[in-house]
Amino acid sequence: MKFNLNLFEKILNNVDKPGRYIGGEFGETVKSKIDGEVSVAFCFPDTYEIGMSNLGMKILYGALNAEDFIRCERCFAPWIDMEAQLRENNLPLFTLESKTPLSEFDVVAFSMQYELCYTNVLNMLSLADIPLLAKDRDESYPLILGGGHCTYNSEPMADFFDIISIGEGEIVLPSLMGLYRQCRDEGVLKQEFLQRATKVDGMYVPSLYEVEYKDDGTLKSFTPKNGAPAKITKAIVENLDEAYYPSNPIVPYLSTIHDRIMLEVFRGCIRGCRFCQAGMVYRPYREKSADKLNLLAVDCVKNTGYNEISLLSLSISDYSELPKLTDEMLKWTDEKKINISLPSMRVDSFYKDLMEKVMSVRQSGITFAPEAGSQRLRDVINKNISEEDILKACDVAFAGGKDAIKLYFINGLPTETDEDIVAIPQLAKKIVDHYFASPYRQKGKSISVTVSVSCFVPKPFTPFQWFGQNNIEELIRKQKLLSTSIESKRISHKWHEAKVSRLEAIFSRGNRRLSEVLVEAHRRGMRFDSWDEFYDYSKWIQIFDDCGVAMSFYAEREIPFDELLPWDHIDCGVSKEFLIKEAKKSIEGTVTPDCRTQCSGCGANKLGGVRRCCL
Amino acid sequence: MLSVRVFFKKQGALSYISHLDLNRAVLRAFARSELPVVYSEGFNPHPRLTFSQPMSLFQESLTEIFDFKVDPDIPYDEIQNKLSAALPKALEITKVAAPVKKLTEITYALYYITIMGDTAKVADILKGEIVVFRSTKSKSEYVDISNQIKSADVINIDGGVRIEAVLSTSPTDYLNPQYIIDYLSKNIEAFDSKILRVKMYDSDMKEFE
Repeated sequence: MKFNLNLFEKILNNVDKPGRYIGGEFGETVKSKIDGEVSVAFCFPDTYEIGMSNLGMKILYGALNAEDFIRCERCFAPWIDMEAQLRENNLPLFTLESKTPLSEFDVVAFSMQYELCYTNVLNMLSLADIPLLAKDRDESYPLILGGGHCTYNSEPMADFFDIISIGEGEIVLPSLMGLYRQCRDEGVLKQEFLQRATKVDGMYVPSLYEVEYKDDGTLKSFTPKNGAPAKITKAIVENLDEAYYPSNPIVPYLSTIHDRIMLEVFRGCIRGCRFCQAGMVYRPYREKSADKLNLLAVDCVKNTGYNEISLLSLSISDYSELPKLTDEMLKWTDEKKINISLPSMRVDSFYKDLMEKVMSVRQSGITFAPEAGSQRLRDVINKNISEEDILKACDVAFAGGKDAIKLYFINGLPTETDEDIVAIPQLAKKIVDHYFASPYRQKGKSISVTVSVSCFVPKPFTPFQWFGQNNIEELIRKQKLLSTSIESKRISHKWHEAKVSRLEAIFSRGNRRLSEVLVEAHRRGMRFDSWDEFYDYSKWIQIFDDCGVAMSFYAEREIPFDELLPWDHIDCGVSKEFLIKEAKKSIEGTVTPDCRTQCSGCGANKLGGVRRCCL
Repeated sequence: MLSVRVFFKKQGALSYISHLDLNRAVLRAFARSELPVVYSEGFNPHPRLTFSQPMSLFQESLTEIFDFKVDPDIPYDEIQNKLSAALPKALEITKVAAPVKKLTEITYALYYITIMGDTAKVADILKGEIVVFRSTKSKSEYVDISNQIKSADVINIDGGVRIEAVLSTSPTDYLNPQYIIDYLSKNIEAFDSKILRVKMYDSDMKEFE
């Protein structure tokens, strides 16, 4: 299909926010097509505003384009109105930079950050006129590459991808593109290239594995063939100070979700909360140095013109050089009227000095994440914070003039009882009472506490991966119980839809049998499942029913420790033995100290890395 | 302190960017350019930046304006160089100079409105009353916009017409040319329209500087 630019300009007049589709932003990389290049269409299966806020995409777009032989361009999921226009006018999905159809690229790469984007991946392939299943694509089609957070269990998407890149891509993806070019020069066919690709760190080629199931639907065997490795170890960047970092990212015209400088401070997490996938799969913990970060911040401000810098990591207050970094930055940011923000604070490390340095006076509220209401359950999940810590953090907030506290909790955690649920509003009430007894209470002012509750989703590579999710009725009953237990009008309650969390759980712990469900869902027009206005749970029930696949098998089932898991062939660093040990400790309610206090031997440090949690 | 007036073109990709987004893009360009832009006073200081009458999405212009101040003074050509380097490529600066009149003194603008349709019919319609439904924040009403059209020449071009129209463009009396297109396509067969702002004038029809 030839891309008709005149037609494209005409249809732009018929869509909302045409700025999503035109590119041309400050900082965009537009390369001319050259002989011998490897062209990559980097696709984010959600809207422009969400994709352009993704740090991973910024890093990889920059790292790939930093190579002379790689031309990397962007593509996002078109909104419903644009999709209708493309289909009606028979225009293929295209990249922003050169308005080239995806099918004309050597490689089409998808960044998958959440399971509910899977239908968007399929929809984008279909809009690009590319067959969905890897086995239906001959040499004439681009190589379809997957990456991102979801790839720690990408089995539901395995049949659609030629290669899935596990782990951190900024070093290995350019290597893979180099191999692609070499194979093309040698006239090597796709099948041979895929086999060679398994030699590049973190590259998983799903078609090189044979899957067998038992009668009960669980895995019987997962067997490599043609010399593919039995385990694929994720790729990491050992030295973050030396790795590529985008100090001149694209500055969008449209206002995006995270419209500011994102400064990544460290990877991994020393905490080990037992429900948290990011806290496990991004290990080993590796820091950047404060000196390097300060230099990067200066560059980013100069190159982008943003007036806000967000320090990014899983739990920012764990950064060993945080006081040094904030002091160094404040030396120049104040004068330039630039704000520093810290998006993820733990209550046990939220102190006055830090708040005064980084909190804008205009923000009236602050957010903490106790995750569970009772101490018992906080010990089960290994949150390692006490009620005293929480109230102390609130004191700091009150002293700083904050009068709105938002608290994150999770419903449906393993071992949860009704007492644990009721403890959530009780904790909120204690905070309200604490405010009125506080010497920092401002005359005539009141307090609002928002309790925001999500549903537990068992995630691969967490100690909770073996536990089932509560069924919908139980999750809804718990939400109601929580709601009716609130006794103060100063406490408000927000919750996440259980029906959405259920689908997330299904795909999180899914196997290859779900690819058929996804194809059917795509055929019935499912897309943008992470958007309230398009999510239709009743349709999903129908699709699973019609495919003869039981939702409860994936979402609710408690899995025995000795069962072969669909993601057992992936090595994220943390060992299965460690996860089992943690799961058993959780049932006993025993906590594990953070990695700086004492190494608990999770195994991730075998991958290497500098400036780690322990050496 | 030096007052600066920047004339620029809003064409191509820029015509798909809303005024709010364009405003933000210029503010970020200020920051990147490291020009000594003068900020407002107060609790939440921001650069003093004023645009000429903004255009709707999809409309293009050869002559848009924004004003700001720098302190200390620097030569206009240096401002133009630094700002051009800091702005997105699509935003083309045509002139940087001292403001002659206030932006509020812009009274008229010349537009080229191209549309596929019959020349005679278009010319005929433009001679009469043009009653459109106009809604603003405060009220919605039927109004005759013909008195906001100072002049309109209808020129036959390949397959359609170009209306060269001088329309009221002051802050208090502004006619969005889209109303003319909407009226035309409601009354005759007319499609594929384009709007280009070509020049801006003061109340004496002198080109605005």
